[in-house]
Amino acid sequence: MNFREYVFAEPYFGWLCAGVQMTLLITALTTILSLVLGAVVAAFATSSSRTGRLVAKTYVSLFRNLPLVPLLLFLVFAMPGVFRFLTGRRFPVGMDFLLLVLGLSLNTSAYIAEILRSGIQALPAEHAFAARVLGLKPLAIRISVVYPQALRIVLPALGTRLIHNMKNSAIALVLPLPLEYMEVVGQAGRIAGQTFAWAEPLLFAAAVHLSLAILFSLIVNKLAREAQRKIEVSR
Amino acid sequence: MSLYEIIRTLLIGYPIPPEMIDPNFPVFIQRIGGLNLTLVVTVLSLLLGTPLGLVLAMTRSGPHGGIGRLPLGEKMGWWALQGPATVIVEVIRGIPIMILVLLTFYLPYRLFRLRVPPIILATVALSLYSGVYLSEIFRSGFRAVDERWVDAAHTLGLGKWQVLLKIKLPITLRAMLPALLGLVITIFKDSSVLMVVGVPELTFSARQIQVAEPVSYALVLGLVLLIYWSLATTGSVLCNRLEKVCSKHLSE
Repeated sequence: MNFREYVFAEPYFGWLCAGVQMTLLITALTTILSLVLGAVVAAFATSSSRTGRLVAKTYVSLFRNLPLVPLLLFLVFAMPGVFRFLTGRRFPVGMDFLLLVLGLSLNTSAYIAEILRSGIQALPAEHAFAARVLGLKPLAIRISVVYPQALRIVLPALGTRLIHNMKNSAIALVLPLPLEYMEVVGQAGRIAGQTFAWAEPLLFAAAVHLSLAILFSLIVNKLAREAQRKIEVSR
Repeated sequence: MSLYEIIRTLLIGYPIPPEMIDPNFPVFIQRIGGLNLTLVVTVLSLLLGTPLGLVLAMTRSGPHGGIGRLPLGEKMGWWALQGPATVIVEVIRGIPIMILVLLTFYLPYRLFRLRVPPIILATVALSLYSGVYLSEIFRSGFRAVDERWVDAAHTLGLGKWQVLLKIKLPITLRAMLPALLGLVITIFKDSSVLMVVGVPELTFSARQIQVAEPVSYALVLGLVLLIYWSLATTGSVLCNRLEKVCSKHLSE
């Protein structure tokens, strides 16, 4: 083991630090996108329209049962061809990073939609009735009564899934991303490509992922405890 | 390559040329590929992960929490075992499976110059992964056993083994069956990560076809996604059924 030569020497350490930044960026983008997508799908899943529920169910069953590696490969290698076949226009190049973010978000949002749906359905229907009696519009009921409470109930499950989402970013290794878009495992592979030393940069990447996961779960636990207190107060 | 040949290759793997066969390892394990290999690795890693998960779960549950009492004294430093078990579980759960697979492939060679057939390394990596998740499932299963039922059984005169086989095991199994099936699906899907180390499972076979044959990669990958999706969906439909059946019995 020679960490001094393969991890803490320039330019390798700089690459790994850039990789950590990219991991955080991918995590932030996919978290936001998948929360938005998940909330929309969960709204469809709990709507009164049968078509809406069917759409949500299809979305969830489709993206929850597709493994990420072939899904990302499909998006990056096959989507341009499919796009060209369907529209007759050329797919813009240099979209690989955005397709990666999209693929990760599609997967995570399906899980999040399911989690949010269970939270919304766990809420007593009387809350929505009471809000309607008070004269709130359906959208206002959803945004200010149903969603905040559902969010509190599902916070632990949501946190687990978002940590999982961060770990999923390592799958970017299978894609031929440009150097500046590589996350930490990709950069470890880049170092291995030059030095034939896989173990040391990989252990560094593992340490980064582990500490980020521990940090995230501490934050989630704290939020969940506060949410639990609020749930108990409201009862 | 015709459609039939593509599907056949995806199911049993791309034929490896004779010069690619490594004479140091048995030939038959180098010939398995495609969906076959995915299923073999999934099943093997779950089978090997079960004892690992059981040991981890029983250690972490302490002298009274497990499914039976471990042959260790009550005051014998449990913390000395529980600490490492917790660390193993949390570390493997905290790192991505991608890193776990790569480390399993490169760390033993770097440390000990150990050369092992890739399929065995792949099975080891997925066994570690499934072992720690199984240990969490086992632990929640153990918690489903109410101490009062065990006491009642003892009062009725049932022996230690009868209590284990007739009271503890059925309750534990029923409580964890849905989660267990969910884990099977997860391992099946996550085994696609093995393509980064060149294990010729389903996803890697698609890559091999793309490199060697003039066929549309979109078609091949679409077929791969279809295979994964149909098997995983069958599993999750079963899982939902099972969840309903199991929770019905528990609430009685």
